[in-house]
Amino acid sequence: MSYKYTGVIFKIPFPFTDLSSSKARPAMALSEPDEYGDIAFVFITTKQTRKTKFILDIPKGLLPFESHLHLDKVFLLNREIILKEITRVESNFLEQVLKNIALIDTRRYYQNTHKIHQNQPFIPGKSRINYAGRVFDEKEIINLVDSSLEFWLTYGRYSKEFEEKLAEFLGIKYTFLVNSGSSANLLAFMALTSPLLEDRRIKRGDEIITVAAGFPTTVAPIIQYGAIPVFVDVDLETFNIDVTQLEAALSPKSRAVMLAHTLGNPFDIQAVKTFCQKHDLWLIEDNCDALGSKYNGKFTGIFGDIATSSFYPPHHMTTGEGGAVYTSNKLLKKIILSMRDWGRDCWCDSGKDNTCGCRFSKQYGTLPFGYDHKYVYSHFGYNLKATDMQAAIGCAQLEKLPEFIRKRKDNFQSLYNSLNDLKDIFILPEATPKSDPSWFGFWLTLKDGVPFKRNDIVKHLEDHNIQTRNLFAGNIIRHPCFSELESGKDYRVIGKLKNTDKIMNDSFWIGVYPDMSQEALEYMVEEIRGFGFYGKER
Amino acid sequence: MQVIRQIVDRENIKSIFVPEEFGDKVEIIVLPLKEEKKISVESMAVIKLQEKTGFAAHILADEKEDVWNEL
Repeated sequence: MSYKYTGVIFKIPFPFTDLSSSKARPAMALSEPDEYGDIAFVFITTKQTRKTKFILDIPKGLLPFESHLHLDKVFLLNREIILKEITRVESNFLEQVLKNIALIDTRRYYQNTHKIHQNQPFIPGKSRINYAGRVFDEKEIINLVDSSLEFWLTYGRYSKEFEEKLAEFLGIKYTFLVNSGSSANLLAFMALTSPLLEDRRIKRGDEIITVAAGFPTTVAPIIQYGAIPVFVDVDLETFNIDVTQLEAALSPKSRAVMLAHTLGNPFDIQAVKTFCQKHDLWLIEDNCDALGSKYNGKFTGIFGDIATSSFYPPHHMTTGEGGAVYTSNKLLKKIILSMRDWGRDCWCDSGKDNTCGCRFSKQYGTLPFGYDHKYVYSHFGYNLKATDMQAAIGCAQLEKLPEFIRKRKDNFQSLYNSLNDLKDIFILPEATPKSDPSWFGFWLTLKDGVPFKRNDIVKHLEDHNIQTRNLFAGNIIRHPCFSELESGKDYRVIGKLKNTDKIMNDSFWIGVYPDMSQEALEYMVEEIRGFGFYGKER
Repeated sequence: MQVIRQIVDRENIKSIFVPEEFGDKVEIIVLPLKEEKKISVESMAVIKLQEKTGFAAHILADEKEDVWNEL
């Protein structure tokens, strides 16, 4: 179906009100006449008169001269002034025109709304300093609207592009976009329970070595499946696993090590990986808080068998909700894809059928021969896919990621340099040897014996509009969700987790996110120092 | 030549009166009614205003664009 006017190029008198003029200009109608007979038009000129980014070339052969549409100049003219119809554009070109005009309006919206808020000057004490936040410009919103207008919604071209670009960035073979970092952890763990892994699969009752100081969904999939987390303590400088306790955590049931690079600081990958290789254990890197961190010159997330990312807004880059799982292992790739997409055996992209060419010609399980492969299930899977709109945002964010990482490092260093002389009060964060962290935050741990409590200084900072965070769960085994679990049966603890408890009681962190201004960093330092450490009663 | 011109509603066309002096054979031409172009004052004002835009004054008015006149 086509409309009478929309998409038609008309000859319009020029000047518009001089109907007896011998001059005329071509214009394309963008709408049907409204109740007053008015139609939105964009004008066409030869290529000699105006060059801007808001133009679109008219397809060759449609008009006698090479020409283009001026999409940012929409005129409202009455149908009565039309001299004659010249030609009609193809529907796909019309779609392109309308979409580009919508994106020009989108850019205008961004520049007059979000951009103004983003460029507010920092006012000490009044401007809120968040620990993290989305950092974006018009490109993210344009991609989002572009994807929305396509209305593909589920896994689509942006998803594919995002996965390919993320894989290229990290230097890994396969990446899978999912709907959150927690989903990524669930998928990464559950992939290792696949029967396709035969003897190496993780079974219920098997043990997974991890830490209790961190985010709950690093641990939750282990418990949800019925495996047993074995908690090892961390050290107070790196906030990462104390690798000297790894051997103590080992048992005949050990099958994997699943660890996060805490707040961007890589754990001792060399020690952990050597341990895993020695004992034939899987290594899952929870890279949710560490995208862009490096160890031995390579990005974290490529050392383990599987790794995960989170793109929740506070993280190194965002897709709103969103996450990713990545691996270079071909068998794990197959399993991850299956489990992400309902557990299906088929690997066709959304909306496509019979990629394998054997959709109706194979035997699966005890199903009738030729049962539709699209509905054959090799796993008890999930649907953890993200939408193409999330991926569209991610594509724009990936372009900015190197700069985000650089800024995070600079901001961390700025705070470190300014607070370095407070080592008699705080244990400051230290990068793991051989690492170059892309920091998620800057943590401070109160030294034993200081005359104040963590919550005192946190309250002081929050009262001065500086947002703070604890290291997430602190010690996960002390949370209500563990109340029904039995130590020694449902989980094991190596030692007393003394440092984990210390972090739970005495640590907090502040942000280093890319949009943080130098003034904000200086204000945070000023307020930390302004707390007045002595003269406080603990 | 004698010509009869009449504007009629479609449903009123029941018969055509042809004067005797037209002879035994006549040529009948039926044309769609070309209505007068009517643009409201408001629309015309809007159109006129748009002639004053920089784009119309500088780009559309450019003589190089006169190549479209004979289109």
